Amino acid sequence: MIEKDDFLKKAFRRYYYENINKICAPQRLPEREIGYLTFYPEKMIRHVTLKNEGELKALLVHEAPKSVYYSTAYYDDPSAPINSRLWKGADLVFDIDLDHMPFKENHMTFIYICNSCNSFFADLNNKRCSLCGSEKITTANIPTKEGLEYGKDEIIRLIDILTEDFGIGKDKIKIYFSGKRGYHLTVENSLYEDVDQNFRLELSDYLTLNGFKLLNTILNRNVPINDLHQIFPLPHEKGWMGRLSKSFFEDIIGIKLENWDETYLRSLLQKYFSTITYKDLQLSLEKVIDKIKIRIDTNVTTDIHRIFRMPETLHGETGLLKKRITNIDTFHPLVDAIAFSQEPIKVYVDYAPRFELNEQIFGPYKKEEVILPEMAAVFLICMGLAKPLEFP
Amino acid sequence: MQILGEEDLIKYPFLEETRQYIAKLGLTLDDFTLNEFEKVIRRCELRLMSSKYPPELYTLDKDTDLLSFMLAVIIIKASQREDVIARFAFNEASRAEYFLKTERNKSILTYILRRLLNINIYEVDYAICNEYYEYAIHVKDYVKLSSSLKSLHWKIVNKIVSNGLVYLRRQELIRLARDKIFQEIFKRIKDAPTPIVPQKLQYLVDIVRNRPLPKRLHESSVLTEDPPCVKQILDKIKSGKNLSHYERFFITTFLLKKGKSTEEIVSLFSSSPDFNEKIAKYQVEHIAGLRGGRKRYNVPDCKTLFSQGLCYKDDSCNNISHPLNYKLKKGDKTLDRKRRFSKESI
Ligand code: SF4
Ligand SMILES: [Zn+2]
Repeated sequence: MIEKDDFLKKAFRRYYYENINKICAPQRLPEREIGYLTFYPEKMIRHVTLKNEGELKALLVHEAPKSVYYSTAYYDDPSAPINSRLWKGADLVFDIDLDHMPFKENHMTFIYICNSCNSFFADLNNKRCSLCGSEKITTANIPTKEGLEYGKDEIIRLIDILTEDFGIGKDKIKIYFSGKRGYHLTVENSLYEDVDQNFRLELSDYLTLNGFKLLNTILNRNVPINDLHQIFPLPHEKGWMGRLSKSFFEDIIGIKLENWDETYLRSLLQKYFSTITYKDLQLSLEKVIDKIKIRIDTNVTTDIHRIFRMPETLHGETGLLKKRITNIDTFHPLVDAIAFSQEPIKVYVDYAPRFELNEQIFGPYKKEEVILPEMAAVFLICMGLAKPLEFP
Repeated sequence: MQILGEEDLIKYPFLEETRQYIAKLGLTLDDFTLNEFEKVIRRCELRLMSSKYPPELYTLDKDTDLLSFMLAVIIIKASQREDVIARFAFNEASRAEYFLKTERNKSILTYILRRLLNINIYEVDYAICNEYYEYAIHVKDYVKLSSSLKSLHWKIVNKIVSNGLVYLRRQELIRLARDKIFQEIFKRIKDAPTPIVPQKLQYLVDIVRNRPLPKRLHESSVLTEDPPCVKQILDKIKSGKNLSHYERFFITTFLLKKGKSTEEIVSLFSSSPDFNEKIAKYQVEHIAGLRGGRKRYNVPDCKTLFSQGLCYKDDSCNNISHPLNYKLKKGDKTLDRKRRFSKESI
């Protein structure tokens, strides 16, 4: 029997060894704190400093870490204890994860694992294992192509706000597939680099529309609904007001906003408002707000000492890369982020639902030996769904 | 480039120009004991004692007015009472706010605001939903300036933000300026060395020093079993911060319901820098139903408080829907209300 971690560590090391030229250190590497997770014993090593890209490459090949992180902040001495180093600023970072999206059936495939009898299920009744009755259940999930496409929309809207509302140049923004369930966006070298936690909180509330009260300026005034069309914001307005209006026309009134002029839109509004009550309007606008807000993980954006997965490194829970995206429309996470080969490897799969990688469909499998291409084998082993039976 | 006139210095005596101007006069503290400075001393007394220093102009010459400001600063410092410094800074800031609000010449207003805030201020012309925006400042500057204002209104999510700028109405920018003036004066006095005041002026220091401490409710009766939202406001009062209108309303209804008298509540408010006994008394009695519509107001529920941004829910709140239902179980420790961030999380 081959140890799973032994297998993975060897595979990761081989990947880094063969692809070391693709590794490109984050900017200002010596000012960042580096952290990484080792395979065995599974341990987080923090407060590491690396002087240059060469040292980073050496670390990847030598340690073959399960995951590698870098601080989004810049410090005078990144290896000093957190309270005694000087914080010099930090990239703005955003994490968009399917976990934070409204749940849709086809976005993720869930797997429930009973830790008592080691059985696997596609769904679960009453939070209990249907074989042994145990409640010690862990879940795993595999994002689907549809789910990952859906997340892209969030990134596109986030970029729009950062550039339009905050004036951040597109050239300062980098986007990535996270290697698992979502996307990362970082802003480097912007004038927001030195902003403190309070600003980052405000920014994250802005994006998630947390505490949004501007609806009151549209609704809570003494304007009768029949006159509301005169002051209702139009799609060209600045900031959220424009976005809110745009979505209102497109999703609630149901028109395509192509060539519009003000008089036309106001007359549409007048007609529409004559058929509804204030309460209806409020409900519609609340729906709009829910649709247009950006679902970032606010903990990531507001933490000024966070360490973040390093680009072009392997994700220890999938064996996929955190991959830079240059063209989001043509980017296919489950193709472009694949690190491992098509070499066939024999594995024992405990359980795997149907899944897709590199446009090939695999599974479902249940308690069987399967020969899989290395990329799929590593993927299932990383997820804890399969065990290796041989080394490549 | 605007040149500040005499009148502007009298309106905004905390500007750097005042210091330069006074330095040129070459006076020492002892000089103030001379009879010719009698007028300065009278003016200074006014500044120190009235809660609203009369904003009228032209009643005196520039020297007297500016010197009275400088002298007041020295006396306040010598009193070594922080609440007095805060009250003085607040009064001076409110006085400046009054002048800013009534400034007719927009280019002077803009110039003064730029000088006061020391940031780029853009004049814009933008209207939406019947609101008119005249100014825009960078969002980074905005967040810094507004950080002490707790109402949701000031969050950037409730502002028009475009291309890195926050759009502001005239009144909003003036309000931010007031806060900045308050902080600057407060800090300047706090950081200054304590002066030695000549014997003849010592009585001014004594007046300030002996001003009664703001009365507080018997602490233990209030502080032990109040819900987080109430504690938050009481803390604010204790540290001499101003309450928003709604905070005042809520705490008044709450304390009335808990059996506090209107007098007790008014004296609780007396430590706020913007305290005005007459107004506070009227408001509290109004809420208690003793005046006006004779309607006794109810304590708002958690949902309303939440929507006003005043809910600081923690575990001890136990899913209650009304702060009056709050009961702190024995042994419960209230948790840190602030959002916490682990320093070493991934
Ligand atoms: S839950 Fe209710 S009682 Fe608790 S802090 Fe919020 S408003 Fe106050
Ligand atoms: Zn089981």
